[in-house]
Amino acid sequence: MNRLSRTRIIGTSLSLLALWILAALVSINVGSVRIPLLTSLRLVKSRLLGEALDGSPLAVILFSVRLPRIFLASLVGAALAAAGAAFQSLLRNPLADPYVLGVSTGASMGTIVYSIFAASLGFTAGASFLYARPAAAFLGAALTVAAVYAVGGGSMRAGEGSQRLLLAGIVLASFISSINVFLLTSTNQADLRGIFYWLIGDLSRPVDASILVVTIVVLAGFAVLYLFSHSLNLIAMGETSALILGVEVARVKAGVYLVASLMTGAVVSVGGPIAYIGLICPHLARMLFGSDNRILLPAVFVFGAIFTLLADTLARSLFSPTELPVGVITALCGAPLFIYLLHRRGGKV
Amino acid sequence: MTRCRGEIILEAQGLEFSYANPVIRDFSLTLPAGMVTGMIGPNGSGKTTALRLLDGILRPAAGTVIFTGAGPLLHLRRREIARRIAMVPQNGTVYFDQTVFHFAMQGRSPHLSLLGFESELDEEVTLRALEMTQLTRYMDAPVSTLSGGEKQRLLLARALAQESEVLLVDELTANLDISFQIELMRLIARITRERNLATLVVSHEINLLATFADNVALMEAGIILAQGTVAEVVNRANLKHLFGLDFTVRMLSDGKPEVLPVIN
Repeated sequence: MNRLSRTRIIGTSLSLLALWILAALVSINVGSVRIPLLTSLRLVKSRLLGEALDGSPLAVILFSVRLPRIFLASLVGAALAAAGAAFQSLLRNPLADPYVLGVSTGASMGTIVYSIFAASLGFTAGASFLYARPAAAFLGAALTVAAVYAVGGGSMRAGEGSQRLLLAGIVLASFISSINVFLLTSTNQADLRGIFYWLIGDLSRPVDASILVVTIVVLAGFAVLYLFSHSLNLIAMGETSALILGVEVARVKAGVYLVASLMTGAVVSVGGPIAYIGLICPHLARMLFGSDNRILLPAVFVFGAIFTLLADTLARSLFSPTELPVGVITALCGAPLFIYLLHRRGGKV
Repeated sequence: MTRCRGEIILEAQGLEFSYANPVIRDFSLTLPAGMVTGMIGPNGSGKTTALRLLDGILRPAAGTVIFTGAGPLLHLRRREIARRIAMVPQNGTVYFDQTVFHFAMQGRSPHLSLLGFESELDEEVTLRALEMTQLTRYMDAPVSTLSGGEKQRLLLARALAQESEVLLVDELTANLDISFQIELMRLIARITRERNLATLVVSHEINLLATFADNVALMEAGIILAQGTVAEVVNRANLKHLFGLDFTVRMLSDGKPEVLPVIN
């Protein structure tokens, strides 16, 4: 028995939030310049109390480099993990995630096209600039989703439909990847190394004001996904079952697809298409907290933040002062972990 | 709402539906309270499609399905339909494994708020449904450990947890051995009387339906060929027309027919 209680959901979420804070404290400490824990806490306290920091170099690193980056990594990880969990339930397929479905790659195409044409369109500063890059990424993501649906969504029969969507996603993702590389190499980009990093998934670029828009999209998107959580539970049992049990399946599907793509687009515009977060985090969280989306979604949201934060901390400290793109770490951990999961559960992920 | 036995609860009028070709043509059927209606028809005659139309999952190209007291299904939201009509689908599947109890409790969904938090009352209703289908002792077991027959009973339990007035059952007894078939049909007939449900059971087992159903509808190529009491409808001429086979139909002492195909 043991029906899912609100207390358990809140308890689990708060415990994970505590873990996230712990991970953030570790991450503050680690890096090419070490900031001892007590020092960082003292600096944060002074800042909160409005005391002058006298341009202390540690304070500059803490507030302009490390904390924004910790925030960015958490935001990106949370969004990708939650989108992945939602896609897996929606398509009833354990392999579904924003990366496999081509949503991330589509979003990166949107971002690249934007970065090539932004200057000529006059998007250089001001409010329009804030929205334009995430909006371009979302547009790329949405167009890809539409294309994936057009190619793979012909048959809407429960099982078969989702297989075809995944296959269509994989094919389109590789196609769009080539377009991305073509666009980048044919347009004389100055910062090829930076772009190469970003394509793998990189959080080392300075955080600009567009992070505010991205944050709002991610938090609001998560809230909407959460409202769909019980419907997603029922859809995970099959669309006919969900219809029988009173779910407006078409509306939920469209809503989840739209919101998850919006969240993916928003974070890809700042962090690049980081692989495996949307795939691995939902599976680990499902093993720990069960498959009920009402607890899984909040759990995976924080879990994804912790996972990505730790991965990014490794990425920037392993070969310090040289930094790896975080996508390298997530793939290095993610792929073997995924193979292990496949084996451990006898192919039933 | 209390209904008299025999009062029509669900009525389909002149339904038409096509995929590439017409599947359902001028389909009319009534389902009365407190009675089991059996539906018999050859493979591909559109029985499952008809069931999906009756549950409002498919939209008819013409005609309406009316729920007495609530109006045409077309004007109702899925939730409102699911509180009134439960369906046991032909192949229920489980993707993310869960316990028998939680699976059955999904039947409460149409009665819950958006986030679907269940109350003690919902647990009680679910427990009762599991008791009726004799699944209480598997309550905490994962659904994947159940046998075929137990899974069918679980789908029925989930439908019972919906506390609907109409119960649509699609091929529930397929793939079950004869003792399970009889057990399930007896259960459905008993629940139909106890809860005054309007029940429709699709099955290939003519004798099973002839024994447990009050009414029978014969379906052929998307049309209801005949609907009436078992004695009226299950006869040699109708069956021969339906299946293109000769049958011997013998009346038993309780007035129920016994049907046997003539194979040579």
